[in-house]
Amino acid sequence: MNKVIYTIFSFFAFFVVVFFGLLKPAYAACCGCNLSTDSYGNCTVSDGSCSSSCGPSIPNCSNLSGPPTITLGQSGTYTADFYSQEANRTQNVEFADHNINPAPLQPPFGGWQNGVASLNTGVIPGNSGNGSVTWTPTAIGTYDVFCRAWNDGQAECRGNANYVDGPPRYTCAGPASSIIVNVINPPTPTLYPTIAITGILKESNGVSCTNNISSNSLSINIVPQYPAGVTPVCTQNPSSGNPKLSYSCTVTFNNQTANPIPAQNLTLNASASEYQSAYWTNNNVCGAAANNTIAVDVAAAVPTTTFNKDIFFNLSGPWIKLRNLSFNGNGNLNNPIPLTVSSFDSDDNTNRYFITHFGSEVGGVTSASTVNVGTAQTSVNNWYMPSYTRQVGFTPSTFFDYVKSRKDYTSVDPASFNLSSVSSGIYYVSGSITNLSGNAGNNVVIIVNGNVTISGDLNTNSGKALAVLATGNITVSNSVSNIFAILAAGGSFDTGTGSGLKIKGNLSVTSLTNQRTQSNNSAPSLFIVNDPGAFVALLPYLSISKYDQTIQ
Amino acid sequence: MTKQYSNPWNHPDKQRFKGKQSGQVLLIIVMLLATVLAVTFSVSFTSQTETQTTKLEEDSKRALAASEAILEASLKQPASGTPYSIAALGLTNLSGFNGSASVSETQGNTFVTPLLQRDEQYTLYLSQYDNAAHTFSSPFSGDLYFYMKSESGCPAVELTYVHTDANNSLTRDLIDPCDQVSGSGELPNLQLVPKTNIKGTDFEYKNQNPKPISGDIKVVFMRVLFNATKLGIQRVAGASSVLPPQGKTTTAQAQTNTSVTSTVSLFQSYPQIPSDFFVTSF
Repeated sequence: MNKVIYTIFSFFAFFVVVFFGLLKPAYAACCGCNLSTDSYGNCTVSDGSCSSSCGPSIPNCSNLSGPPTITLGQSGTYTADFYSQEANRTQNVEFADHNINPAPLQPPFGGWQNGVASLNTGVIPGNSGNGSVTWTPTAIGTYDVFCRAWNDGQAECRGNANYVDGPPRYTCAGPASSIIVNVINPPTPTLYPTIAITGILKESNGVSCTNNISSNSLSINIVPQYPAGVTPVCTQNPSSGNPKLSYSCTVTFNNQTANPIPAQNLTLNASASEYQSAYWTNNNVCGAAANNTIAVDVAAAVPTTTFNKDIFFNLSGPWIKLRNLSFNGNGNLNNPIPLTVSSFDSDDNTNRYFITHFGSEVGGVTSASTVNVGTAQTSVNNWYMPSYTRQVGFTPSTFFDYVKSRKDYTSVDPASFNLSSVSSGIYYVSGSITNLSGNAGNNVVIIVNGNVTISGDLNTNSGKALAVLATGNITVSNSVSNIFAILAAGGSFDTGTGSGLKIKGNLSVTSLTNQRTQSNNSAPSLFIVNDPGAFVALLPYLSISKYDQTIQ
Repeated sequence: MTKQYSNPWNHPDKQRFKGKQSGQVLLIIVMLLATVLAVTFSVSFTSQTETQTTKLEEDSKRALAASEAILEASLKQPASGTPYSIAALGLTNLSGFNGSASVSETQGNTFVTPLLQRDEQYTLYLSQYDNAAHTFSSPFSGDLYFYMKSESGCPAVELTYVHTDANNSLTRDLIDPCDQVSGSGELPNLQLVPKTNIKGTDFEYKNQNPKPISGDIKVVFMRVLFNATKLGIQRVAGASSVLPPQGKTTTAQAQTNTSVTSTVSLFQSYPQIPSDFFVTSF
């Protein structure tokens, strides 16, 4: 019995030995057939007759290294050691989204489902060597980066076990075949400092200056040399109405969403239709040369961010002055009075008013659609009405209609009209007068059916009153400097060019073209003086009557 | 036995009946005649009345035409206390008319302008004006109120005084009750509650303190701003003189031979300088 049991046990033991011997791993079996192993523990084929029973020769990669963090927009280079039984093999480094869980084990169509890049190292000469790839991520996140070694047709190894689904794919023996890399957003840069430019608005005649300006069309802008990412914003104080006192501009350099050039010039672009020019000067010096540019560098170590720059508005153009009159404009009155006023002649003074006065005289009301006399007053009492629309009563034409029905008058043709010889009265001149000049012999009202050209000084030495009413235009020759008459035109009045023009009487026309200039524009180029004596003298002629009838 | 009548009308009853019928016919005829007479008389009376009315209207129109003719003819006559007759005026085609026209220059304590349009001005004479010689004399001395009544909205008026000095120097005031004009130095004013009636116009505003006139003003140009306005000028009691005449009033009266009378009065102001020539404009 014991013999039987011993025999059975012996068979069983033999069977176990034989059976478990057959179940050893392939490479173990391989090694079991006296094949040597390499430094990675893999079999090395030294006997081709035994290779079929030795199993696959698994390549390896190890020592994967590279930056663990990459800023989006930048690149990282990853290097690993590769070994393959297949010589001169191109190897790989894989990049896959770490946060997709579970990670797919098998890449569909050659790419990981969560893979973002599979980069080749290029050929590694021989069986082992160092290979590297450069990866430029396109999105932030956490990535599995592992090397992948190939022994084509036999086996491959993957550096990260999560991506191994079984033979012929094996986990690389390593070590250090896989790392985790974080791709992060670039850090938000510190915003460049904002440039602030402030200053006072000043009126200048090129020599002296005063605070404040008066303008209905003021425009202030800062123009950057390189506009990309640079935003200037300017405001006026007050935002509406006059006078204007100051301004403030900010210039922002947005280096977080754009790429502005931090060092550049900023240029002033300011204008007001009432002034000839607007400019900065160095150190805000009144009367200095214009310098409309400042240089900034917002990236400097200690950037200058605040600038105090006054804007000078040059007022040196021709302007108009009245004395002891009222003004009722047909449109806008844009007539800034300069800071420094000199008198036109002895009938004028240096009052800085649109309507000046002497003694107890009082300048009348100024009305127009807009009234702009700069920072000056319209008159001593500053009576003015903007947004006022004149209601025309009599024009030269309608006055002549009245004269025809109510007054005595004499009709003459232009050729035979002689200003110096006519007696007092109303004269209707049937056509245009092309050369009106000289002195009136008596108190005369001329109603001209057409245009009038005043070719020489008019009525300056007669002691008589003269009114010239033209249904058309009145044009003054350039040589004329004095007109002592009440002028009215249904059309325009052209001063002609040359130096200053004085009208003693009044001027009532539909539109005015003032081309007169003064060598020193502190004096008015057109000076209109009221002559109440002329109106009194012409009372019988330059007048109408009011009637009120009652019937019983 | 019954008598036979060949003609039924010969029957005695018929005879009696015939006599009654004749009376009825007569009555009807009388009534008809009365009606015809009544209608005739009525028509005749109506026609006569209408004729008389038409004649009256015609005479009235002729009288009005005659008075207007006298007025028109006398307009160019200088002011005088002497009335002008139709005959004196040489209007011979108005024979059978009696009539005359007189021209007067009235002085008073108040004066009311016609309605002045926006930007229109009225020339107020504060000195006696000789319309023929075009000279000024006897300037007014005293205090004045300037009343204002706008057609709509609030009034404002600019006053330009032409003085009597050789230079005809000017001074100005502004009355602006609603502060529609910027500036300072305006005449203080007040709103009248209740309104002050002067010559039929209810004025709403006036200068608060009477404006002293020192006998040195020829005329005042009163320029209306913003809204059509009537102006009233009132001499403050105690002034040494009354307001000078502002024009002449011609009153013409004509009477037809049927005793129909028409009277026409026309006020013609002294010369008014339009603001369009006095105020600078371009």
